[in-house]
Amino acid sequence: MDPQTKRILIVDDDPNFGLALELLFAQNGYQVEVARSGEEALDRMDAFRPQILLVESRLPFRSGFEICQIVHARREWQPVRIILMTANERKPEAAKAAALGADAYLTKPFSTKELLETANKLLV
Amino acid sequence: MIPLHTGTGRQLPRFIAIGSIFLLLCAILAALWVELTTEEKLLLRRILDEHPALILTAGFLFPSAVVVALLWVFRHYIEPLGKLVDDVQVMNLVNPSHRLAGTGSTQVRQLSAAINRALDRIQDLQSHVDDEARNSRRQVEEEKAVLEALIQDFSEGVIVCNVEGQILLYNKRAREILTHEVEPGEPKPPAAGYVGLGRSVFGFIDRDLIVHALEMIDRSMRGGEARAMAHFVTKGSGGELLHVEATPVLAGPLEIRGTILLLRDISTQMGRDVRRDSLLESLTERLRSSLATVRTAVELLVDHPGMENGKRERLTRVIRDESFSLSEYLESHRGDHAEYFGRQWPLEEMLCNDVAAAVKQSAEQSLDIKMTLHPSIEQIFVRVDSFTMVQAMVHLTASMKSASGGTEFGIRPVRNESLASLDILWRGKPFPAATLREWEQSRIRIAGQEIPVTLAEVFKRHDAELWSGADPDGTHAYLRVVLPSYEVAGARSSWLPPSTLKSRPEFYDFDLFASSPGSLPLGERPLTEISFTAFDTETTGLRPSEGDEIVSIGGVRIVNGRMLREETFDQVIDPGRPISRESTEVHGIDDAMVQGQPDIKGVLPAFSRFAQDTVLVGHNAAFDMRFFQIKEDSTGVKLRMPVLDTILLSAVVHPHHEDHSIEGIAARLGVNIAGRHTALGDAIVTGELFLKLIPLLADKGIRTLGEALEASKKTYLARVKY
Repeated sequence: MDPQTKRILIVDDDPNFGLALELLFAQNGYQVEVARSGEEALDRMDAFRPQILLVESRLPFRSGFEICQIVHARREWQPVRIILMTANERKPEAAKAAALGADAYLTKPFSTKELLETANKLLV
Repeated sequence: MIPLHTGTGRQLPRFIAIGSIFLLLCAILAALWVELTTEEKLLLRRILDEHPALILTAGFLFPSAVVVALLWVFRHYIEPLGKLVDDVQVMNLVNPSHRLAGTGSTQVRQLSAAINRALDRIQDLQSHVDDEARNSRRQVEEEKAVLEALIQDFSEGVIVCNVEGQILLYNKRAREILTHEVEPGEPKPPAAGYVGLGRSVFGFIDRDLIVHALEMIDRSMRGGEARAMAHFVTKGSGGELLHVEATPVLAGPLEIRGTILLLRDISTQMGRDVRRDSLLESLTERLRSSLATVRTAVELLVDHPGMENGKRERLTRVIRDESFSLSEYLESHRGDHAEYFGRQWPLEEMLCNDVAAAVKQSAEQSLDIKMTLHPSIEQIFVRVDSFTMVQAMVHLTASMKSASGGTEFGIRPVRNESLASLDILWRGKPFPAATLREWEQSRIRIAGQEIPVTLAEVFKRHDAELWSGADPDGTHAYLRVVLPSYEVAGARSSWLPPSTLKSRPEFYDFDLFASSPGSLPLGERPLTEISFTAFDTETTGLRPSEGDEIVSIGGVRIVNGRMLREETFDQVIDPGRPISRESTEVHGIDDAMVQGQPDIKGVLPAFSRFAQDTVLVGHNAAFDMRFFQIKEDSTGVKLRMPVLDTILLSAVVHPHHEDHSIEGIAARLGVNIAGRHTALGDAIVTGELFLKLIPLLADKGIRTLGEALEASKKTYLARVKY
């Protein structure tokens, strides 16, 4: 695996948004994989070794928060940066995201520019 | 003025007295004569022979003088004084305007005049006091009437109870809300129990909730809060949600004597709120998600004009799909939004420190743990439904205790900009999110009882989040509940010194506030302080053992010596057999009227609840009790409270009268009887007779229930058996 390639793992159960994000990051030079659930994302972590995990907070079984906490706690997956996305703008949720290890927290809808900047900043 | 004694009565003792004195003088002379020796007797005889005037003097004039003197003393001193005593007695006991006649010697006349003057003054004062009392009583009655009218018109239920939970006041709405009271005459007695003066409110509203509310009020009053009240939500007997607002009734600055409860059925409101909240939430989420997709796709297309055709096509399809499905979503929920815009669910503003203190108190009481409070210095206000929030946190502590085995916890409110956290601290490691998720899905248990909400629901209600992490001190971990904090505008500027709290207008002097039920055994309590149920039944005939049945039961409550005509039991019963014409002529109930009415199995349990914690009063109660007794097995209802019988009590009071029928007693005691021979009508008359009998019994020294039962047993009528 080329350490110079930027790798991002997108975790979202919405196929349309997943596709849009996939194309967005692909267009911007990222190697992209999309997982439809938290479990799938955890399964892919070892093989794919993303630098960035882009997670939707409200996933069907394990929530984005849980993925955050698990990924954050696994030393062998570091350094991985986590961006949590939510469609639910609530302050307590933002505080929770930060507490459980998310590096950035974005409220939908956001501009592609904002998302790319956030991702790029985290990679520095 | 009434002459009390005519001469003859007084003459007799005077003659006896004079006669006695005369005989006494004769006896002295006789004794002297016997003592003399023969020579002396001769000498005396000689002296008397020579001076006959001496005989006249010694034998007649001297005794006469003594008698005349005595008569004078009697007439002018002894007799007037005796009369005076009688007259004073009359004025004292019977006729306060009676005055002394002023006969006898000058001194006695002066004394009479002095007593008369004193009495005039006393009577004058007395009439002033009476006027005053009458006036203030009238004023109180007027105020009471205004208050009653006001309260009865409230659209909210109002209940005032003392600290023991005894109801001192209620309005019709409160009764409707709590008992689902149907229109009078409906064939079903209320299932939930009875709301009534002197009854306990705890049968309807959980004691813990009221105690919790009072603790909250007490705490905020001690904190100097002027507007001391508490809210909570509870489930009504029909499963509906009741919002209760509790305000204290204060005796002194910090002394709570009772509570005013305002009740509102918010089931509909609550349902609407929940619907609206979830609508709003799903709408927002839906919008945000779709917009995020569309925006990303559009921006991609704009920013990368040279993108290959296949990708472009996929992106445009994404945009079309998202726009379509969003339009469909909005279309399908059209109209819902406007409909569900209503009032916010009432949460109350509280200081985090108070919430924490309540959690500590409740957790230590129920969990056998120690919880240290680390209060925050600044005032952090949050909006909570304090009861469920506190119980949720206690529930969490219980889960932590059973998961970690720890028994020492801390609780710490912290402000973090616009958020407030309540941390539960313990020595050890944080809990993983998965464990917390499990806990959040569990239902809250309080004292072994599950309440039908999950932690997640409580937190959602409060817009709160829950997570666990390691405390910076390195040894502790925290479980954190974060919720929005609020600036309370002027929260402390409205401070009032606690002393002004007591100056509430007072309309009522509630006797029950002062009563302390259970302080004396029932038998030793005065009849005037016991709650009674006066009752009567109508039956198909006089022989319960030969198949006669009850066709109606009526009852009315008597509390604190007052008949409560609003609190009655009136139920027609299907006897399950034809009703003979003779009995229909007595009570007016025929076969058609009992159609569709409940049978005795449905009614006796309700009557038992109605009469709960009271003493039964019936006229010839043994007859009715016999009917109840025969039904014990089939209904499972055993009425075991003491029973008083107006026939027996009347016989105790008037043993020389023959007639102890309702009409007979009523005529003697001046009770007006109307509406007889319906069970309720007779119950009311019986209750009125009983109330009249109480003071007459007291005259005979019969004051307590025990004494009344004992006296009843002794009267000969008690031996009549049915």
